[in-house]
Amino acid sequence: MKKYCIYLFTLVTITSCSDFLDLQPEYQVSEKSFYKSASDFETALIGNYAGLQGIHSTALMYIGELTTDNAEVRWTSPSVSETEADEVSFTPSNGYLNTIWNGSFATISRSNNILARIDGVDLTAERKNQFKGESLFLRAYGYFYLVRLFGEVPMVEVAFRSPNEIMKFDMSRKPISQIYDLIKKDLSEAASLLTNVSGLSRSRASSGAAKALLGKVYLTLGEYDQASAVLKEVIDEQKYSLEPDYFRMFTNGNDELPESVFEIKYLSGNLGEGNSFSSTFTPARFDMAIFPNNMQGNGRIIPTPEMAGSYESGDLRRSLSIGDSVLLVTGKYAKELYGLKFVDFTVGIISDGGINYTSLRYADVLLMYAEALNETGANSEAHTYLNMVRNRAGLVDLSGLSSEEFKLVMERERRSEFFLEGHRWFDLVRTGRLKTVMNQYFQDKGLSFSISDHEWIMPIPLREIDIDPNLEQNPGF
Amino acid sequence: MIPSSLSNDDLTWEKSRQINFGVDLGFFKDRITLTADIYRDLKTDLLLAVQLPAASGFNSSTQNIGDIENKGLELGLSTINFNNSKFQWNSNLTFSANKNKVLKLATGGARISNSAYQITEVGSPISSFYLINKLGVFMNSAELDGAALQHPKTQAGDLKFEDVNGDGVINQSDRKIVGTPWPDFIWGFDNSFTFGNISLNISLVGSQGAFTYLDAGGSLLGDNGVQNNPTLTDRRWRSEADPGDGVMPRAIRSNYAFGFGTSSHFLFDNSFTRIRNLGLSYNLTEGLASRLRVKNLNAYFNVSNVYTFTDYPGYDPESSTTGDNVVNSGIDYLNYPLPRTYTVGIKLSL
Repeated sequence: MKKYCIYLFTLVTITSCSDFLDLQPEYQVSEKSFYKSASDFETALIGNYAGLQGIHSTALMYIGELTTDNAEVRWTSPSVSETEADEVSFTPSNGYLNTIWNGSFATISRSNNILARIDGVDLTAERKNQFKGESLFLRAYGYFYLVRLFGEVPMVEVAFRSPNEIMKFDMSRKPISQIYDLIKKDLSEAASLLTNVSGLSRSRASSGAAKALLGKVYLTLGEYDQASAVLKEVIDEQKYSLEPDYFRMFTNGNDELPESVFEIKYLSGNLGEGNSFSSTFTPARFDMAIFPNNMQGNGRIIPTPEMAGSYESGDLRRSLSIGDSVLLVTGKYAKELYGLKFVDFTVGIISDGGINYTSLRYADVLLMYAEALNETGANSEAHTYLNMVRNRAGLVDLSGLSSEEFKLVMERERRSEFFLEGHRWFDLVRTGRLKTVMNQYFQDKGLSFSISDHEWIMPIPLREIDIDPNLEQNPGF
Repeated sequence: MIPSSLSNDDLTWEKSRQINFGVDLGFFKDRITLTADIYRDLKTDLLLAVQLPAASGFNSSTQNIGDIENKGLELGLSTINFNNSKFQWNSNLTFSANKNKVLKLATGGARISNSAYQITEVGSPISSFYLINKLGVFMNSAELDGAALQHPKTQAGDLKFEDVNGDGVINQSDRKIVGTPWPDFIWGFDNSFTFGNISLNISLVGSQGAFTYLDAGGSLLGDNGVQNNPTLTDRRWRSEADPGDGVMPRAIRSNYAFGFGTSSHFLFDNSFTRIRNLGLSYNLTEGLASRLRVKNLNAYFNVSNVYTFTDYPGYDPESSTTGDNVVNSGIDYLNYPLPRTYTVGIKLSL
């Protein structure tokens, strides 16, 4: 298992009023003596990747899954933020939205810090291209979540060096198209800068990851020709392949698998590098014997019965993704629905799961490509790529679907394939099906919740509006 | 490695100008002594952590935010109430009151946001609580007629809030300053009694008028929970016939009526009187001591944190999760309460 530990240091600038007070703290590094060597930039980049661990372990999973018909809260005292996500009734004080806003902008600003400094440093062209490419990928990665969730957001491409610079900067929200232009530019540039870089872990940006993400960006914008072109490149380069054993991607030792395009590393051992999926996805029971130390789950993101029943018969993914009963300390089993993906059954400490989360994988590339092909009229070719993913799940080939039928089949296919991977909300918003699907679901369940027209994007976090009253709130919130 | 804080070349020292008048008086051969101080302290270029927009990549930075004024009064009164060979009684009373006001902000805007609950605004004390203001509970459906509501589904039993901007809707634009974490005054009262070989010390402390935001209120007093709750929950609205006393809303799992979200519902007056210490000691008479072949024998019993009289529903009215941090003082998130300590001892001198 080739995992690297991510060391978090802090970086700070010291200002002094006179020389005799000019002491450097030993636990921090001054910005003025940093950003000099290749290893400094490497260290700064690792710090940037490390930030993705947090938002994927919690907030993005709540937004991607709990908001939808995939999952529900099943513990006794859900917090305000959890309730809001479960009922899709977000307010500007929602904690998850705040986490994603802060986390994404942290990623963006760390990228900007590197991009602003790298040109003046004496490094080989190869290393410079690599660091730039990785930083551009990460900046686009952050902005893509922001623009999809919040719409118009402030656009920052510079590194700030004092509070005064921040006060003078135009922090107003920029049009969605302008944000997308930046994302597309960054990803195209990253893809070309990283073309000849090899030997890096799949937790680092690569040319393939940049192209796959760019494909998702085009698909989200409805630019299907561009989407299919860039996704075809990823497929034709043959760097990735489907992992024959579906479950292998979601269990211990899922490092550097050929299906992984971009993965977020986690490490158990109580080092603060673990994820919390193990407790989040399993039942809130005190009497379970499924983890060491009989650790309890906390039932925050639990499959809905509707989700469990949504798989085609014979779909291998059903029993690999959802458990139906848990072993109790009494030796008996209790009927409970719970998630199996990313749940680390070897660890008895909450937030210490060591299974990696794969943010972009080849099955997604294939299904996105199929979706783009279907939209551009290449309907029969689209079936080929859809069937590749279906075959692995033990399902038979589909053929002869009309374009409209294909879209609905694709909706279910993505739901079954990517359950508990944080895609569902974004998929439903992208295809414009959010209101229809979710309001039908709430109605079938006899719940009085509903999604209104304005709720396809989220409210801007209250903290930001408190700090800058000129920042406009999204309509309806 | 990640950038954690931002440099600020514009920082200067904070300056303080103080005026102080004091008197020390003694009466009846110093059996009564009084000390009194009044002061005004003007701090300019006050240093404070200011929150930054997340889009900057930084959370906060220390800046010279403006001018702040503290003025107040400190009193101390010591009396010897009895002093004869059999019985002595001494008392010591202290009292102090401080008023804090922000005079000027250098950061441009009308206010600085300190946290999700607090702001610093010209004309008000630093770190004032800025929240949607709870007026009570809608006791019956008739009260809902024409009232400003937080959600169309609001019904009897939900919290009733003040519509500060008068737009007929309750939302975050209706926040206002609803209290401060700073007490109007604090006091202490120590008494010691000596009766022959026995002596007794009692010390009381108290605070009046400060508020604490019970950050754990959402889970401790939540309307959604099924776990054990503080006794305050017993005053919950149950029905129009049994509406409680307007403090706790109905039990409901959703938060659309802001029942367990951030509002002054979880802001509590933390005024208290505490018996901080109680000590009893006994000195063995010299005759008995010498028969036991010791020079001196003293037995004592001491209790600290004896009892607290307060309406604050959290564990401890004095607790603050953020310690002495001025920026978000007065926030209590399940802080571990003060223990009560019993000490029993014997002191021997040979």
